Amino acid sequence: MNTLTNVPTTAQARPRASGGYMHGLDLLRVIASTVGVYVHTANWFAVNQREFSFSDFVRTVLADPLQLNPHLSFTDVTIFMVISGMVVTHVADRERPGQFLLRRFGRIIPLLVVVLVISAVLINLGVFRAETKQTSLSFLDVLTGVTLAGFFTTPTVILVGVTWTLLLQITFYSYVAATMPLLRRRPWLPPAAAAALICLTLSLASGPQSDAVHRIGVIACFITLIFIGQLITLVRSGKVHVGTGLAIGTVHFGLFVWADKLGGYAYSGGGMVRTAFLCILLVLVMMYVGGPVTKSAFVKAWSARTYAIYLIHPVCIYPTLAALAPQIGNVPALLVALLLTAAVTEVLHRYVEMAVHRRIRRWEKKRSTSAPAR
Amino acid sequence: MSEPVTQPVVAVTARPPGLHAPVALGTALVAYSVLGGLWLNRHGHSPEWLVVVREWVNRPLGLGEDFGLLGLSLLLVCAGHLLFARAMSTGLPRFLGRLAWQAGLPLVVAVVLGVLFSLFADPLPLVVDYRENPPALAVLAVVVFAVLCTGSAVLLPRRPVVAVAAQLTVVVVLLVVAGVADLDQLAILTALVALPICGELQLLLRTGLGRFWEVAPLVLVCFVVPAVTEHLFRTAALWWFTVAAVVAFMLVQLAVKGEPHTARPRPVDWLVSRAFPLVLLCGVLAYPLLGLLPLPFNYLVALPVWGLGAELLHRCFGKST
Repeated sequence: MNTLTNVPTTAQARPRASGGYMHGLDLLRVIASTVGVYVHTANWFAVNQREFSFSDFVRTVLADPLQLNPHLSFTDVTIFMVISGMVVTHVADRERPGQFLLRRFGRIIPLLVVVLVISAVLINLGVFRAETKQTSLSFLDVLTGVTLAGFFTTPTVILVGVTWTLLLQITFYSYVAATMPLLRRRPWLPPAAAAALICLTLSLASGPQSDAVHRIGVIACFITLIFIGQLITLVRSGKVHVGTGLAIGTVHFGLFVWADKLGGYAYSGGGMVRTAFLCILLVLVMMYVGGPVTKSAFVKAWSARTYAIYLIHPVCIYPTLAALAPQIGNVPALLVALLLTAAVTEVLHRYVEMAVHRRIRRWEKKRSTSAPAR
Repeated sequence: MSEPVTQPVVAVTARPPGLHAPVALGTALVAYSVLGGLWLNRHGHSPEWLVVVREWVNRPLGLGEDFGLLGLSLLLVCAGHLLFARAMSTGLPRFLGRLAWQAGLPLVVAVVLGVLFSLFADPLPLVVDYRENPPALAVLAVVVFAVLCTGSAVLLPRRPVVAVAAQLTVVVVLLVVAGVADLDQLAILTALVALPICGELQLLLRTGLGRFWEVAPLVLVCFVVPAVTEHLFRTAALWWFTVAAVVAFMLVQLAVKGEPHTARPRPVDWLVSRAFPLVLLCGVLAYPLLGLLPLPFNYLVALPVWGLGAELLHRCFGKST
């Protein structure tokens, strides 16, 4: 999930509660990224029928008592989406539409392209398998895969599974940019209008449909969680009355429940609505959490790298486990995979993500200083 | 070397702020569950709105029993806040005296009413069985918690975290006894008693009487108790206690951390100040009254009489929340 895109490093762009920066959300990002890595690791062990006792432990102490998906699937995605909606809405308040899109897309697209190109190379080398099971890719496949257009083609070409959430982000960013003037004058209206649009989309996309239409239904289903995040920020900042926010948020959650009932949108097994509900509550509680751990440099640094972790971890973990687990055992292979993920994450964060971010900021500064004074 | 702490470092007020919303919500949910879902179903009614709410809200969220368990959980967590605050802010004799007057006597009145109604009507049976009478077991949980508070009263002002840990130890021992002796209702009772202890721990953290690293493991143990109860007993597993407990804990945490000083409508204030008598009289006054008249007139009569009964208890014995 592109959490880092939503965590600009400048203090002015950080979400501020009435009591200041919400450090608890940084800790929650760390937790969510850890859960994300766990979910995909546990799924890999389950699919490959290899023993992973930690998975049994998590199921016994967490998943079963809270009636969640056995591998905690969807937990990370919900947390990231809600936080994303909160942060993006916060930064949208102080940016022009063009500037907003440049900064947001500048944050997600370059790293996404790099990761997808790496995965395409690994697929053609036979080291990594595409989400849609291709073992070799033509130039057109690579092009559709890297641009995410492959989500809407027949057959679908999806290089890395987790990138489906980027479709939601791109849709949400575009919607926020398009409704920015409205978001400032009538802040309740964009999320309310979005609810109507989602309702219409779900109505049209339900039932037997082509892959492309079904994918639009998936976007409509899960984007409700991002709008709930948007409403949390609007209520926190006092722009939307708590009753209005609660009402529109309930409609969005109702649409999510409806989409769950329609079926076909969940890739994460049962308990999706319950997971979303508990995660939204957790985000709300964590908004108020402070303390030395949440404010530590370690948490801050990890939190800043969650987007890179989210994108790269399947590309690092799956091939490493496939290659090493039969040779050196599950736990040593997992340790190597995690170390590799950490190293690649650091490289991507420093030399792609932050490099592009700094370049955009420098370009903006240069442009503003060279522009004639009015 | 520092002197041993003999007094709490932070004063605890007798009525911690921020509990209005969860107490009001909890009371309303218990009423909806007992007088809405439970009474209607036990008397052969299954209106469409009830089915729709179950289908669209209760089932997806995992909050079964028509929110009844969530309502009770909210009230129990808040009871932990309130009783702990009172035990800390007043001496033991005064604490016990007020408890006996404000909670004990209304409880006696409720039992008498239940016995009287059982002669000619159909109240919730006065049995310690969660399947038959969920609010009764919750009230018993409050009684057990009050006993635990009294037992640890000497430690509470000096070593509050140790006192709460001792209470939790008793709960865990009771759970072990329930497991060994195969007593499902005792296990459910321990799961419910863990909730006010959760409330205590929230207040400890909030007032600075406990550090995060001391309190967090104890909170986890509080959630382990219902999880183990569900694991041990098939009957307990039906209600998903842990889901309701975690949701209630987070809702109360949100309420006390959020905006505790916002203006409240008068009906909410009324509901909060009469919450205890309302819950007490729900099964022994409102529930049997519903059976004496045909639908929908029974609700038009039972609800005002129930409110009046709670008002009388409140005026006679004072504010309990």
